[in-house]
Amino acid sequence: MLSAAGLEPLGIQILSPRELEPDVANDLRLVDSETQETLDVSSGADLFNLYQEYRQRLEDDLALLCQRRSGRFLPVSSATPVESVLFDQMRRRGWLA
Amino acid sequence: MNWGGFQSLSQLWLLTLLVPLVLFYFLKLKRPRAEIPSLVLWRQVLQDHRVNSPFQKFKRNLLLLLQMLILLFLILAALQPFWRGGPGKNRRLPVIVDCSASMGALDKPGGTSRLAEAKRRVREMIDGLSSGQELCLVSFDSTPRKLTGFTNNKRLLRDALGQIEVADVASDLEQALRLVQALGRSEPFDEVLLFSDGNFPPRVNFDLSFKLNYQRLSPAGPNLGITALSARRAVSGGWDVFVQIEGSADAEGNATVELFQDGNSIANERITLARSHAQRLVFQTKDNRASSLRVQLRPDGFDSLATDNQAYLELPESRPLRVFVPKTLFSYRRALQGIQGIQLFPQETSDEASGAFDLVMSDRPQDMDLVARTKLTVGFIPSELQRFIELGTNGSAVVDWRRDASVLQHVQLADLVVLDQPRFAANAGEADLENLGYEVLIHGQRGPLLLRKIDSDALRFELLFHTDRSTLPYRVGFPIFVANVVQAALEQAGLAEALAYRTGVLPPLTLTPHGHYQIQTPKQTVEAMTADDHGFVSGVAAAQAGYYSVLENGTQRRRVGACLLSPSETTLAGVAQIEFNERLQVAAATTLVKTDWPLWPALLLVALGVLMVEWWFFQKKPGGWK
Repeated sequence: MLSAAGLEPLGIQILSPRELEPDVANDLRLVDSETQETLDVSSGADLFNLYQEYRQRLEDDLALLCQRRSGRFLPVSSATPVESVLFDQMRRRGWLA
Repeated sequence: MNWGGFQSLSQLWLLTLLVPLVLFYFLKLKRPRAEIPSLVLWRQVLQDHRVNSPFQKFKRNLLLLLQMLILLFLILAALQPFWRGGPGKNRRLPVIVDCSASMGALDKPGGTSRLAEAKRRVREMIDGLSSGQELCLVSFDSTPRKLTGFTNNKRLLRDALGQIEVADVASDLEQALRLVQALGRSEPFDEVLLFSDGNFPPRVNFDLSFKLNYQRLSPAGPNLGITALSARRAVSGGWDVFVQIEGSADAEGNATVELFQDGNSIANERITLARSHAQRLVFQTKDNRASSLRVQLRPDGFDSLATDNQAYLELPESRPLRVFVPKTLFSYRRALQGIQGIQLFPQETSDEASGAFDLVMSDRPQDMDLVARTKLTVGFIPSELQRFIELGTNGSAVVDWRRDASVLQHVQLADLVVLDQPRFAANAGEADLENLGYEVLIHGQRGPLLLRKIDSDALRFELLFHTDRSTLPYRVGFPIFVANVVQAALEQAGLAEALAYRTGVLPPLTLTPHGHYQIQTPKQTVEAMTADDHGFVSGVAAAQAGYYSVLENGTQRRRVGACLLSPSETTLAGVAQIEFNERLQVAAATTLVKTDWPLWPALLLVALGVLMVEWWFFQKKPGGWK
């Protein structure tokens, strides 16, 4: 619909550095910052690769979703300054003229 | 077959440490909290079947398992497991170590001595000692020494083993075996271990009552050494010095023999020694004063034993022999006048006769109180023999005599007429005399006519008939007999011949009566000694070759050298088989003594390895980690 209406969907996935590279070398208790729910992770370093695999799959799914709708997708780290996102990453990808 | 076991099973209680380990693991410190924007991804990850596979579950508890494994290895090490090497446990084992002179021989230039090799092998045994085993260390040279009782204390055994040193004396295996046999009476054992190079007689007079494991050490290298050293007074004055050089079976080659007198080199000679041959040398010294000789042997090639390359000899000052003969014994005084180098007392012009003599010949019992190293009694029965011999007057004749006795050499006694009749008392016999140390040299019809007794420092001849009441003074053999007695006195006084002192025990040293002295050994140790009533210092132990100094208040009074002079030790000959009484033979063992192999060091290493793996595993950065 968006495409038919002449609109182009642009997707931005913002992840914190802890989500991109979680520091889970040992046993850890993860706390959801919104719900305060907890999840115990043992041998977290072992799970690191599996986590990255899931995160990458999510990222790929989102990128594919946008692509199917003739849209664009940009994963961004919350640690990256807004100026860099706007005037570097978005401009290089042609999002901004 | 018993493969091994544990030396310290009592440490099994350490297994209880597993309980706190597991408890601490599950009750470990609070997990660190990490706040993240969303748990969605982590929930998906944790629901993945790969995370919940059995292997992953195992990996999740790998830390606990590795820690338990390390603890188990440590507990196992504490139990001190061992791999059975030797025969059964729970036994006592006496270990005899030879430390005679030949055990100091090296196997090659700069190599190890036979004793060091023996000690290395015994040390291995001590290290592998199980809790049920006890060793008893015995060392032996000419005398055996019990170094420890039966003990399992490794420190004690190692200390005792370290104290064993080579003694420059020949070995006496028989004495060592007797000592060990005596130990067995209070603490029984089945087997005895012997470490030796086999340098002892192949025949041992001993009833072997236990199994002897004879561990013969590998032979040492070639060796040359001095095996005899003596001097005889030369007719022209001075001394002829005789030296004998011998070598081991594989020793041959050239060497230099040098003679020193009072520290100054006076002669040297090159010799070439063929295998299994001895070389004899004669040196001359013209000096008549007392002096100290040293012979130094310098082989050109490798010489495995250094202690037999030096020998020492003390030459006495030349002086006339002081002889006391009462004027009543005219025939003896007449015979002595024809012998050179005699100073006869009392002199013809005087009755004075005092001081010490070298030889006393008398028919008066009271003259036997005179101090002399050699005495000849004539015509009376000494007091200690009066129980066994009585003197009759029915006459006697010579039945037989010891022709090989030096005092009777060239003396013909056949058809000798004797008016006295020494005869055995009732129920007395030759055995009674032998028990007192006497030896019969001339046998009469009913009893002995001449006896000889050799004490440590005294020589006595007892003529039990009076020669004036016999035809002996009228025979050609009489002056020869007197000359033979004089020669024996010369030897006893050290005026005719000088022999090098051998290691072991020094001969009595003549010093001041009741004087207090210190004997300084070649190793600079000092032993206090006191001279007896006659001024003799006896029983000085001389285990090491070299000079022994007699000190009085720190000042050297005398110095004597002791040397090995043992052909058996110098030739390093080793027997491969020992023969005991009843033709019991023990051959050298062909296999080394197997010792139990302790496994705890290996277990500790494994535990350390597991610890390293654990450290590596949990500290490694996972793949993709930036």
